[in-house]
Amino acid sequence: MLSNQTLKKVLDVGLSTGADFAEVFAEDTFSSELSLLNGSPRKAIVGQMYGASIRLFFGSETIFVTTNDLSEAGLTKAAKQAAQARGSGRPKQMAEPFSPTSFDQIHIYGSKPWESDRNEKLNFLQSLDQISRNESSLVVQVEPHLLEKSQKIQVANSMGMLGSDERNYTRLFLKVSVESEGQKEEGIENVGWLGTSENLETLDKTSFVKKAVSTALKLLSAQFAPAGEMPVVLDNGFGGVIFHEACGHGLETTSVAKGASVFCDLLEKKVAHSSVTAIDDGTIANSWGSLSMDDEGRLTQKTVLIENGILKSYLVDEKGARQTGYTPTGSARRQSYKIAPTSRMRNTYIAPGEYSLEQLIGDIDYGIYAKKMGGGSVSPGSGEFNFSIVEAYLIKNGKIAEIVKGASLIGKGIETLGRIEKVGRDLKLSAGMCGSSSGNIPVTVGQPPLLVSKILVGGRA
Amino acid sequence: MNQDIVRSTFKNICHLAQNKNVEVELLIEGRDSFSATYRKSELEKFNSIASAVAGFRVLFQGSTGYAFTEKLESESLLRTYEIAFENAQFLGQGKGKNQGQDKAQDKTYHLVPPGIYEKMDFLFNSDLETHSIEEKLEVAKILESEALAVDARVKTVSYSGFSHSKGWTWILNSQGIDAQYETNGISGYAYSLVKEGEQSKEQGESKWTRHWEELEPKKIAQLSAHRALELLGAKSIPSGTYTVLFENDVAAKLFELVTHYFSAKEVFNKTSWLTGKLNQPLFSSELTLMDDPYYSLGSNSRPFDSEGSPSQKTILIEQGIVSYWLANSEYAAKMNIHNTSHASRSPTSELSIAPSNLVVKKGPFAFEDLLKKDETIIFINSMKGFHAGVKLATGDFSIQSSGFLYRSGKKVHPIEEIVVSGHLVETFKNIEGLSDRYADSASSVFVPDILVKGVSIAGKG
Repeated sequence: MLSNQTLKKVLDVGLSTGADFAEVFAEDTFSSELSLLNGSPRKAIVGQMYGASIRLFFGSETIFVTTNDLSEAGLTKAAKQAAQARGSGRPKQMAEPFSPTSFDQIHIYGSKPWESDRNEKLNFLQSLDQISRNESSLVVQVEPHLLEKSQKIQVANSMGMLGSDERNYTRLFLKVSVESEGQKEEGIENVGWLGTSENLETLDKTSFVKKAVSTALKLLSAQFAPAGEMPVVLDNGFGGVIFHEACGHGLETTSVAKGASVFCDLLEKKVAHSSVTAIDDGTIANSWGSLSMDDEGRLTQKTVLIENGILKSYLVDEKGARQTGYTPTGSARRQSYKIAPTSRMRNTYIAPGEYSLEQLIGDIDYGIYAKKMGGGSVSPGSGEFNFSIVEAYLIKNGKIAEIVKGASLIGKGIETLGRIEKVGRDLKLSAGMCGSSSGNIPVTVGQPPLLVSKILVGGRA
Repeated sequence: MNQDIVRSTFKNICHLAQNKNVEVELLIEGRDSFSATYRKSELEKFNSIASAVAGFRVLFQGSTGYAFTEKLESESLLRTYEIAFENAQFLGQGKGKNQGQDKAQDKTYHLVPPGIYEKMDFLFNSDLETHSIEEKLEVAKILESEALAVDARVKTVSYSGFSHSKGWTWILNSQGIDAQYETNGISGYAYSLVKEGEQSKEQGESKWTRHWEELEPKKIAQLSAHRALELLGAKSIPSGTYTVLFENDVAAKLFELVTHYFSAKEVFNKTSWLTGKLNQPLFSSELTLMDDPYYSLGSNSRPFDSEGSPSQKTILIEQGIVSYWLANSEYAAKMNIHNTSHASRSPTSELSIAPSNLVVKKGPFAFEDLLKKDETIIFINSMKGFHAGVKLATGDFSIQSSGFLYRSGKKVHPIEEIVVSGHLVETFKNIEGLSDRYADSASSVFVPDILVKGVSIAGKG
């Protein structure tokens, strides 16, 4: 997008008042949304996001300026504004010659969103609507939604880093509403990947729809979940949100550097049950949370966070590295050029163990089987987290019993990690969006089924 | 952005549109913001964000197409209009396949004609623009330092910062609307992390205002620390049904969710819990709710909505009775109701419906008197995880909470690790009393403290 000459000039202007680091991040993003309502096409939005940010470091002090003007004059003006915001000194250095970041492209992309046939996509969404309505006469509304994004980025910094990447994202979301005798329920399914819409062809549409309809129908007859502490089995896939919320955010240097994490100063210390190994991996081909290089231009990597219960690494970005001295982990991420990057999770999961789901459930006299989790949140400083269960069942005498609704789980991160007593063997990842200080980004969470010996279930008393 | 170029480009676009019997609207929003954060008394972040985005909405033969761009140049605007037109054509072709399935959905509506807009000088306070960067940095510094100074147990300020933003909205349409308004405001926030023994607590405080002297950063910082310190020593309570006093800012967050059900879009599409329940006494007779776009303290005050329709006040609940829906031109036409001017969209999104400022009429009780209305009262002043813990389709919620146990009006101990559950509408039906105060931090939802009987709480023991 921008020439090396322009980038060099802008970086030098950024360094002109004494900054010790300057960075340019430019972005040109195409996005497309297509959705149905009542079986008819409802929404078609196409757009372009186009801009750049200049980030300077004076030590660990950050100056961050954005502009929509990507001309050399516009970028130079923004860099000057950034340089003059704090600095009044003389330049300590000039930008180093560029040494381009190179990587093998492991993510396979097909046609760009604007190249592929929209009629096919529309037909696909209409088939989801039809399958849903054919599943049950109680289906009153079907809302399929297809999001596509093609993000071109370019990053250059005064240390000589120069990188560019093109990332294509596709996400399919389905909400099915059912109604019986005035009572409403809904079932939601979604899939997402770092890739283009050709992957829709590999999706088992019927199974995808059936899951959403089946959840909604079952919830129509569900009683409220019980309240109180009890054992909980969290199934694989989106169950991984427990690690994401309970621990993952606390391992980002965004929190650690401030001393605002319960995991501060615990490297090489035991923070979880010895059965727990947790990984944050940006290198999984075409996975929703993957990258090639991060938003600071570093190659992404696979980072072992916890190994057999021992804390091995934090997630570290450039600023976090400056503040803590830890080595960057290729985890710097941002929603767009409008928000500065911070250390964030990518594809985060707990490594598989040895037990079957039946073995985990068979150990419990009375508890909850959380088949499908919803979202959640955490206060990294206190470790207190919460998340909702979308589809939950009672466990009675070692067997899955009736479905229950309205349950959420709350607890404290390290305490809950210590209560993961058994880890199942079937690992599965699920796509989601994570919102934090650098905006909303695609992540996957994952785990095999887990048995937590005790956790507070927020049902009805 | 050169307004003359945009205006003349739009005039050309209107000419093109007229020839094809197309209605076209251009919504442009711009924002300039400054924000700063201190950490350990050193400036950590200094952000200056400038952005503008233009979004077209095109009506063509009963279909609506959208497109947006951040390149506000003549050629790019013209191209973006063409994409929006293509999107409308595309949706129209798709609808053809389902002809007759959805006649109510397809009911034609038109863009809004020009109206008379109230002058709202208070939206932009020019005094805010006279304060220097140094003054703003001092405020940001106080937001951290004054929290740390409260008590040695305040270990860090996890998040704090000052922000000053200016925004402008400009709408043009082929019916002749050419209207704009500017707003500005400042805000400050602080989240204090306190620690004693093994227990950590994190609480925050924030404020938004249009008046420099009203921000009171020292008060925000100190309150955040005091709120966290008060929770040290917190313990859970046994699961059960309690009388609960929701503090005003917590009540506002809970109540804001209820207003989702007043959207004519949700009512029409039968995704609102209130569909078919107009004029029914579903809420406590103590409750009267107004949407007020002219409320001078409200951050969402505006002379017109996102379609350019002149703002108007709307009573949604009158003494417990569901009185009216929030509508835009599209759903006013579909439901044959009055357009209440609650169209909401950004240039990057589709037309929807949203409230402006929500104001619940204050009650007669002093806060302290409400705490004496039952022998045992649970005072809830923090709820976390609204995005995951509430299911709007059913109205059920289950949210991690903390607060205090009161007996005979006297504080007994702080409470943690509880989950408050219930149904959104039923909760506001079981109101025992409303206080005579709004939260200092309220910006667009003004709700007094609310005492509710029979609330389910999950706890330990």
